[in-house]
Amino acid sequence: MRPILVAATFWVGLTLVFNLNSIRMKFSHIKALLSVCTVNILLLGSSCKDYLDIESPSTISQEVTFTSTSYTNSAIIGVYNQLGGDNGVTKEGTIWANMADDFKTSGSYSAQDRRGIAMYGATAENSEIERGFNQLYTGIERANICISGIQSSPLFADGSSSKELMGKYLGEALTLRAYYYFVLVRNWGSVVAQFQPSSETPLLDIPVTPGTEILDKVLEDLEQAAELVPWRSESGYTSTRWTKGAIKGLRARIALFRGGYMMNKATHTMERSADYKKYYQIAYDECKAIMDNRTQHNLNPVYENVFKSLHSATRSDANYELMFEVGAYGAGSRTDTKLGYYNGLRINAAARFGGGGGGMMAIATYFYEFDQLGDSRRDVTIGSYEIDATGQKVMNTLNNMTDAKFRRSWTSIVGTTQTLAVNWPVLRFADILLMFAEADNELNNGPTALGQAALLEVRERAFAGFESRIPPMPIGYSEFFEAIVKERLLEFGGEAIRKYDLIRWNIMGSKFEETRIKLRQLMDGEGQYVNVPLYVYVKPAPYNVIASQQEFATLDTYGGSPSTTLFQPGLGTSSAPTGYTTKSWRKSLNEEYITGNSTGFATYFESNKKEVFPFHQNTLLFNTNIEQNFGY
Amino acid sequence: MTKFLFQTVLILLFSFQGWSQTRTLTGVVTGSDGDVIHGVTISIKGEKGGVVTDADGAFKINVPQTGNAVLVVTSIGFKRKEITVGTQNNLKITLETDSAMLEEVSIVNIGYGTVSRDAVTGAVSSVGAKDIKDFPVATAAEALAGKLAGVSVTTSEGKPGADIDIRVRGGGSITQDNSPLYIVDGVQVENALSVISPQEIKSIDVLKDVASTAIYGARGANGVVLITTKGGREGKTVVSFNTFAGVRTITNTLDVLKPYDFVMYQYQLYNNNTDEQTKESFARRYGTFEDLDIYKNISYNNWQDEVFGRNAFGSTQNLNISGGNKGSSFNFTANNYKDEGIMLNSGAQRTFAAFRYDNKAVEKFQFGFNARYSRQKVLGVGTSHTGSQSNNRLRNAVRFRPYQGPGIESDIDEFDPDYANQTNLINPVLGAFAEEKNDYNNQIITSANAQYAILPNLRVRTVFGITNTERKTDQFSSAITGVARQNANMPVVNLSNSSILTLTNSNTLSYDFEIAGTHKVTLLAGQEINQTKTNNLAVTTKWLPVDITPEQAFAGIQKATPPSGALQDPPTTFESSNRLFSLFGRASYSYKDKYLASFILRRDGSSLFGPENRYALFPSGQLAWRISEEEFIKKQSLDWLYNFKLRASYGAGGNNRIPIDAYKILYAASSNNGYAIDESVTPGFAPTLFANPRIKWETTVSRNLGLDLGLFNDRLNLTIDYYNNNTKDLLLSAKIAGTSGYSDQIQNIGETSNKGVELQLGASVVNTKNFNYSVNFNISHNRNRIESLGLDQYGNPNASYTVSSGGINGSDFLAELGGPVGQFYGYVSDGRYQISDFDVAYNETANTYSYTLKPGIPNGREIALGGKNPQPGDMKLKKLSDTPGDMITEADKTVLGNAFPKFAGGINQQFSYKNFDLSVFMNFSYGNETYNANKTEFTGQYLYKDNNMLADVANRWKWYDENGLKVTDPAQLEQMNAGTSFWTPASGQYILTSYAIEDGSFLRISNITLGYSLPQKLLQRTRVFSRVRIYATVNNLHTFTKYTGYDPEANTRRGNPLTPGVDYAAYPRSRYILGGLDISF
Repeated sequence: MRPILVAATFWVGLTLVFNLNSIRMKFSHIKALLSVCTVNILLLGSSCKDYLDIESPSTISQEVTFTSTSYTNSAIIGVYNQLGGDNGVTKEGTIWANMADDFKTSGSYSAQDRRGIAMYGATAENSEIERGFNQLYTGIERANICISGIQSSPLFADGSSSKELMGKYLGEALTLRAYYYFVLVRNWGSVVAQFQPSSETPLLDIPVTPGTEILDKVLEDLEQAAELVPWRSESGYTSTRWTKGAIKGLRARIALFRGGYMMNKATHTMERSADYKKYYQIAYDECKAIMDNRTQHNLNPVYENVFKSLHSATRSDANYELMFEVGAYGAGSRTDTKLGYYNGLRINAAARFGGGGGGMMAIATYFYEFDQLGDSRRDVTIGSYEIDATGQKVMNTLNNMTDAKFRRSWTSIVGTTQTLAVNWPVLRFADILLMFAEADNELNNGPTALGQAALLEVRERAFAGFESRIPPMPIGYSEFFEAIVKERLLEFGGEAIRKYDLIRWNIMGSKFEETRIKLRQLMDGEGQYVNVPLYVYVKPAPYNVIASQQEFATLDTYGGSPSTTLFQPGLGTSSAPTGYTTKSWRKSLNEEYITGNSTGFATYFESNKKEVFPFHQNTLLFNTNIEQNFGY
Repeated sequence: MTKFLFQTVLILLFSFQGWSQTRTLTGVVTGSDGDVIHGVTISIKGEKGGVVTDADGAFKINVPQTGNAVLVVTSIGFKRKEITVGTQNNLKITLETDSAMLEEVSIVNIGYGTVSRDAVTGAVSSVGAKDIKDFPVATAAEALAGKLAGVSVTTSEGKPGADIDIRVRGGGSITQDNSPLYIVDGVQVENALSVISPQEIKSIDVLKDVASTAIYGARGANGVVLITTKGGREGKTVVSFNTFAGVRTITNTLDVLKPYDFVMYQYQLYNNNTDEQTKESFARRYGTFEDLDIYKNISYNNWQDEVFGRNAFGSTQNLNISGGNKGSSFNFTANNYKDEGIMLNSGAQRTFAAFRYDNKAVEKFQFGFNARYSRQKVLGVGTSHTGSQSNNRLRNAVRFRPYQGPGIESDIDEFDPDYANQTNLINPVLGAFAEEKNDYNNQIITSANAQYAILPNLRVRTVFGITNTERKTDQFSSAITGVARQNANMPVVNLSNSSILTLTNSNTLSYDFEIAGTHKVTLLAGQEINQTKTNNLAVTTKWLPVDITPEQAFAGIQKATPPSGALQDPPTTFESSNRLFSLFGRASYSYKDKYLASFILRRDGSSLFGPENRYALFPSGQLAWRISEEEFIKKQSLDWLYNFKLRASYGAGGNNRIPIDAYKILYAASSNNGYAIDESVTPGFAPTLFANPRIKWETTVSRNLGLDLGLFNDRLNLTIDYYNNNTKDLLLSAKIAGTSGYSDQIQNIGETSNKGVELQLGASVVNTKNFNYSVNFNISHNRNRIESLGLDQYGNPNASYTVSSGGINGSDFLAELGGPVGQFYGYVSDGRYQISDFDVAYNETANTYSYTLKPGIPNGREIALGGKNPQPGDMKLKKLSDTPGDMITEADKTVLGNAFPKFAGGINQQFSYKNFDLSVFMNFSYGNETYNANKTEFTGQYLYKDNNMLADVANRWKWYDENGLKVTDPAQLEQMNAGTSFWTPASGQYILTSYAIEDGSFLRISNITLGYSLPQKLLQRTRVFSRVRIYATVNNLHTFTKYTGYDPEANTRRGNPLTPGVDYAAYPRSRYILGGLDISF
């Protein structure tokens, strides 16, 4: 009010001057003047504040948002929003989680980009670790706003008719926040944790919280969320929004990670909590609860259909094996994904489907981990062929096979568009079964019949039609654990699961060393690879977009179907029989591929260091209370 | 402040003393043309003090009851007159114009009122009609360039309708808008100089010191440009018509590789360290090495000439009708302008119409209104773009292969997508027509004013203004554009509409009085509101049929068919409002016209700020001492000293040109924040920004010292000003921890200062009956310094932050504590790697030598060379930091220069001999660097083959001998490269190195006009014409500069005040040769 007083004084002063100076003035003038002044002063006091308070109808305040259920829904959509787009969680799927013993990123090493990450040689300048990291926190901030907004909303108060609906939204927000934190913790270890909106956080430069603490908190949140959000069939949602089963499944996954080895930032070693079995119990219980509700989620009888369902509106996943997937649509960098364009089956740009694929490469040994004939998962998971300019399929070289759960040819999007509306699978029922089996083995120091049944269920689906080739069921603790390690490799290739499994089991270093040994054996045609050919001779064959196993079997290689030619020595010469083109098979591997500085296998990995990423330099620049992770 | 005001009042009160026996004499002063003259000083001979005529030319003076007093009547521009008063009580005085004096602007608009130049206490630069009306340019802004000390007027590029940046004293803000406030006849008009023709301007007064602009408070910190338009005059209706037309041509083109050099360069690209496939494809595209000699005979095709080489016709017509009868006057102006751009498919068209009416029929009540309509259409997308390098539209004209040969004649009409993908190029002629943009800007500016004299010296004035701007942009990107290539190779249309409605109302009360003829007081109090409402609509429609024409697309966007899985971007609308409520007052006092003082107080409330910081108070004070009026000077009878005045001022002003709602926590809905629940995107809510409830005004505190000197009957006048401006609470986008969910927040954390000196000199050098020569010269120096960038989390001052102009890779500007705004930031070029920088190894089996960089030699692999190990001849950078290892990193960047000049100014010379007139106007800038980003891109390979390069590249490191064989032998390489000096174009991303920073100093002959007016005798015989003048003009005749690009004044990254002086794909500037005719009836 002081400025107003000053101004008023000015007016009054002015009036005084007139008064004294205008002895000869007519009195009426003074009166008129005085009234003008008075009116002005009154104007000042009353209407000024209202005049300057304006609301733009284009925006809405956050308080108002949470007094409407539909606005609250829009705010929740805004939290989901951060899952998708170019810097969404598919970044983990296509970049951060490569490489393990399933897939790696294509191209040669540079510390500054995705290939640096794939070789565990990323530096703090690597741009791929900044935007995705920040986007996760944007998601957390939006979730925090919703959580605090809903909790204080009258619509969520006891007795409110919309309490249940608002509770569902709250549960979704809690789950999204938990998921974002889980992605952060499994990639960076200990990170900044903030559970209220930034506008209510006095100091934003917060030091990191140990990952174990963060996961304990989100496990609690998820317990609450699972209470708030109904089962799929009651929620009105499909698998693109969180429902009770998926929340429980996520809780199981996080619990297993929490119960595994995690990077202790203080001691910079991979450590496991003494009470880790507590977490296996959580996983066991949650998985059990899901497995007891098979009408909500169950295995899809056809492995391939799970991934096809990610691609288009025509879904063939009636059992809802896909429990939660990130929805993608809209052809843009914000709500869509580049799955199938960046990675997946390699398709020549001139082919009728439009170009795509090739950003992720299968580790050469991965192909030979699968059963030669029976495992239907191999040809869904690995793109052993590519589609040429005329739209025909042709065999790849051994070092040039791609991931294949994402295929442009499974979409109806043609042309040059880079966004193919392919959803990202976060959680599926097969994982529930395998997590259950693993927890069962851990808690009982060996599998019970229930655990064995769960593993068998996954195998039976994979070997549909070839049940006789199913490996024998292990009985002891270690054998069963090894079987789980292997089964998860075969089941989840390219789904950003393997790397984090290796981390939580703390076998990353040994698994990488084992893989290098295998790669060298493969290169040299030794050991189990003694019959693998040096070259294959190929011809393009029609690509009919039929079942993957059949598609593979009808590839044209000299000597018959690749189901046999890739498992026998063949001619062993680089000159192809008439009509065929030579493709290097074993020959495409060299020492550079295994240990090279440029394209080697996890060349820069070091145990107890590289299990977590460095923080990006800008993260450290704008929050100096964070210390860089050890080893960077 | 309150105390101070009371003291002022008290002083006034105590000065009512010593009334002598006098009588009051009233009168009116007019010129020989019958117009009343404002600001005429009337004093009694032999006595101190005097009075000044008011806006109606009226005065009132107390003369002794007895005796024949002699009145002395003086005014700048008029001959001095002495009148002996008899017994009459009412005088009509007519003054004759003094042609000997410069037609200096004698009335100065100081905001909500005018004063005579003598009475000005602040730093105000003015130009009158004479200085701009004869400039045959389209808008007043162009006519103003270089004319005012301390006011920089920069045309950003050569495109018709290009933005013109006007900055007063450097501008204080570093993130927000630095445009001055424009007031046209009392009403705020955004960008006013671009919608007014030079012919209708009576005067432009620029308030430069904040003490003067404080009367505009919150909006005044960046200077205030007050434009007064011409009114009519009572009497005969005068019709004048002015037309000019001419041709524009490009002034210079960039030298590029000629066909043979181009092909030899491609040979190197295709063969050096590539696979067999690439090597083979060279022969398919260009022929075998043996055949390459034929390129020596292939005629060079200069694509820049094809695209920018046309003779672009331009013409302007201006019609003015003015007149009036007793008590009322009117002025009507219509202006039509049409200009082709030198670039194909570009141009501009503009029509102004303005009508002004003033009524003074009743002495007590006067009113008037103004209506102005402006319609503008700018055609063409131009060349520059504010986005990334992929949007550079100049590239095609410079980089496309420099010949047309067998089998490729058709590429003007045909588009080859594979070629476009591989080269990032399309045929430049085709490219010029690939995009269509129509930018319409229609404005209606109306205002009405009324004034009522409660008492003769107590007046209430109200001004009401409404401005409506309708802006419409239609843009079409055909199937061959980069935009279309991201959208399934199908055309895209962007339509946007915005309308801005501004309402202003100011009410002022002014009172002036005198005490004892020696104390003159003028008081002004006022209240003002200003409100703006903006509506925006934007529609982007993708996936239009491939063959659609722009017209068909604009007329029917529903023809679009999205591919499956794709969604059209939904249309967006946005509405925002902004309001300002102000109270202000000014008290001016003069004692015997010797000591002048003026005090301003303004209080503003703005809707842009939260309740706690909504109001701000802006006080200022100005003092002036007219030494030439002192008795001790007068006694000296210094005939040569006409005027000598010292001025000092101190004041505070604000800047509220900040984004709306930055203080509120808000959600906005958008599909970008949506989520694909099913096969569609459900829009979602997201916070608009990380609100800062504490946000407040940017405040500029300015100190100004000035000196006005008039010599030799004012034939020579000089104004010097020194200022020191401090802007604090600058709004900076503070980088915050990304873990907050946001990357930045707007905070009041910065501080800058601008210190400078300005000098303005006017001289009437020769002044005879037949020959006149006058010179106006100005020069100014401004030193900008960043004083603070806020504190970091430990409370230590932030030292610097980098900014990216967006054109090339990485950040290329540095905002640094203690440094100026606009520092170029990059690597220092160290030429190229020499053989001696390498360890040479010989491989016997291959008979080749390989080169490994010696330890200790800086390695630019990651930064400059695209991750490849350096080889002899590669671009070498200096390592400036002491970071471990030889690798060049970000830490090796340094400040490479600065976009702002050490000094800049202009010189205008006007000659007249009998009926001929000649004017030569030059402007100059010294000590500024220009960031030639074109050079960076056009000498860099990056990802692309088949791109032409600047001629420098012909002189590059040679790898291939005359037989087309690669040489690796060190001795032979040394010998082959003895005569070359340029490096191998780098395959890394385009980065800023010192190579691209050039001296941008220039002296521009911006206008030469030669005119001839028909003799009056001849005209009188026609009985129709009162004036006929023909003239010829060259605009932008020549620029003397060392700069190697098109023009050193380019500024294409002006969206951010921190990234000035970047010439990245600026539209080339043209020379305009024209002829014109002025006729008055």
